[in-house]
Amino acid sequence: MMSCGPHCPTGTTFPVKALRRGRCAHGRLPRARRVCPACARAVPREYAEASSRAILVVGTDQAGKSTWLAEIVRQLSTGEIAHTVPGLSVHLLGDSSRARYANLDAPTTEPLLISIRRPGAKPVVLALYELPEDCPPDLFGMAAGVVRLVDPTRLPGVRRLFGLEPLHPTSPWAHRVPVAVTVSKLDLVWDMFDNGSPLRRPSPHGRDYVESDGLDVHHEVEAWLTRWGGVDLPSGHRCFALSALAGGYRVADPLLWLLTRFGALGVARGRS
Amino acid sequence: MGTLAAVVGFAVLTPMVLVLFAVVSVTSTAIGIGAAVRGLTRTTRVAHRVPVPGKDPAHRIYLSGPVLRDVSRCARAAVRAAHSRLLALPDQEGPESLFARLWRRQSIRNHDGPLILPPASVAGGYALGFATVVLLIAMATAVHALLAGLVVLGVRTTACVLRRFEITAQALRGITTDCATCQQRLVRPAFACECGQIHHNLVPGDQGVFRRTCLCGRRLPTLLINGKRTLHACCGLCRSPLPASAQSVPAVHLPVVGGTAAGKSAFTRAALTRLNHAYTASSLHSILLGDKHLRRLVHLYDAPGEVVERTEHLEVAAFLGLAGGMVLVVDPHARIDQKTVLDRLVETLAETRGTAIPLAVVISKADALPPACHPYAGVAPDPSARSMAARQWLLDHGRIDLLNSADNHFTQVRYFVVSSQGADVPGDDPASPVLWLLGLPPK
Repeated sequence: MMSCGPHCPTGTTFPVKALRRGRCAHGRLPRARRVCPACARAVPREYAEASSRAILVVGTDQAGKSTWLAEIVRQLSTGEIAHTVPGLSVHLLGDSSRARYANLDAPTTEPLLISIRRPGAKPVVLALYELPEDCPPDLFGMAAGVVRLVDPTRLPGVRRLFGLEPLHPTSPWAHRVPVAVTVSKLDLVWDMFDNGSPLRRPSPHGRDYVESDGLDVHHEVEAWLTRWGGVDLPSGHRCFALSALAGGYRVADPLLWLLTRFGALGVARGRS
Repeated sequence: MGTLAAVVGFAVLTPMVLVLFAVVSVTSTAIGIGAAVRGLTRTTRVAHRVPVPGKDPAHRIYLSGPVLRDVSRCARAAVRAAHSRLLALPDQEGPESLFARLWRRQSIRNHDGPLILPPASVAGGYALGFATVVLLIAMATAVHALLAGLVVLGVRTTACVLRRFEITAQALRGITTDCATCQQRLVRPAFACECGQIHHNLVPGDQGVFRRTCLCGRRLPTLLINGKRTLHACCGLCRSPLPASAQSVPAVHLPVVGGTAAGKSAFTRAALTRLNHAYTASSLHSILLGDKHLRRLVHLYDAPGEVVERTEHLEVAAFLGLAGGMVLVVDPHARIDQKTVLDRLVETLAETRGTAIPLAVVISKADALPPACHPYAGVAPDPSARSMAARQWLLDHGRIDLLNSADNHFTQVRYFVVSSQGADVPGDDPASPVLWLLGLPPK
């Protein structure tokens, strides 16, 4: 839907199809932005017309969902990630997304809409939803990918190591979307990894996602998760580990992997 | 005896009746034709010179359609005239027809004396005469209508061809009619007659092929090659006058955007001064640039920073929908996030006309930087090298997000450093971003 502009006396909304030569039915210029027919809020055209994909960011309380979102968008929007993927640019779509990013700690189900562009590639629009671990399973049906943040301090093996009481195990998952099982707060368990661990080396730089490095990290993290226990790994998953503190460490890896699954980012098979 | 009288009577009367029938028919046909011709000449004038609602205040030309209506009216008038002259029954108001007069005389004689002529044969003669007249009228009308139709078709086809020719020629030359005041693209300019009447659709049509006559009687040319370019054009929506070159030179709209106090007005002032154009405290400046081979009517919009920083203002800033290029002024000292400014602009452009336009990024206030930190410190005065140096300077100062976003959205991006503090500070000519966006050589 579109809405009549300030020079139109009626000021009503009308379907986009009713637009005639860029004018509303009253012959005036409409407002530039499209609006939702249900709630009359602005819907960015890029989100409405591009093939947008929903990504669910799920995790327990204090798993670092908001911190990861803030860090990934900060890295994307300030261009830090462009050092990893040259030419990549991101912008937040719509004022609601910009307001949401400015206050990520506020409890809301409002998605964060971002548009990712690379030279010579179609733009990708992502809707990032931050949801609790026990969100309704039917939500996974609409998702194109899931980033599941795992707080290592809640895993039985780590708690034993730190001398903490074990917690109740979480319910297992059963869904078919690509899942990036991501261990957050890597800085807390940093000393567990020896110097040869792939987690000790930063993300490789390059135009494409480096598959070999991703697999190294995947096998390493999967082995650690198996050792720590408490995580039921779903099919079609890829394991990651990151730290969103102190400028971020391997923060973008889960998102870049999901982008390769959507075909929005190339895959480099060899090591860079 | 009786039989002989009947035979003689039949032998004499029958040729007489036949001759009388023929004479009556011929006479009635001649009288009918005369009446029809007089009916034609007595037809009242068709009132086609009246203003039509929804049309421009001009007379409709006779040969573009009203002539066909007159052909029909003439035929009907001729038939009516022949009927009233030959066949019409006695009427209190109208003149008495020949048949009615004869019939009345015959009726009187029937009372006074014997029957001389059979009334049926007289009636048949007049009816045949009337049918002959109607047939002749029909034939004449058909020929008349065919000729008039050909003329109407020719006039309308000529008007249509000339109208299409002018529209196509304007489109090929890239000339559009844009009102910079109400920031809207018009179908065509409106023209005000000296009498004050506005002609919104001054093109060849049924109100005139080469010229039209305003209701005030003045003749107005309908074609640019016919003198229309000398008329005073105005916007049909807001009635503000359009520049004299609006119909002959392609218009380019260049918004100068940036955050609050980014230096947009200082840049616009410096660019206009360099382009020999007086600066006025206005948000819109229309100037004519280029030589006669590559002339452009440039509308520079000095958009206030509040427009760019507020989405509700930006979404009604219609000039972005007309933009053929954009100047983004970046203040290196500003606290405002230039990336957010660019994001809002890109979002609004995507809603209206897309981002397939060139972008000139102008770093302003570079004169406040130490000479060693100036983007052009140690750079050769080559436009490409300077653009790369300005880009690298932004990159070194952490604006890779701005650079990548600009590169990924716009067709071409070039970087400039403009100082408003005189020629001793290294920097680009303030007019160079505008000239580059227009594809014109730098001064």
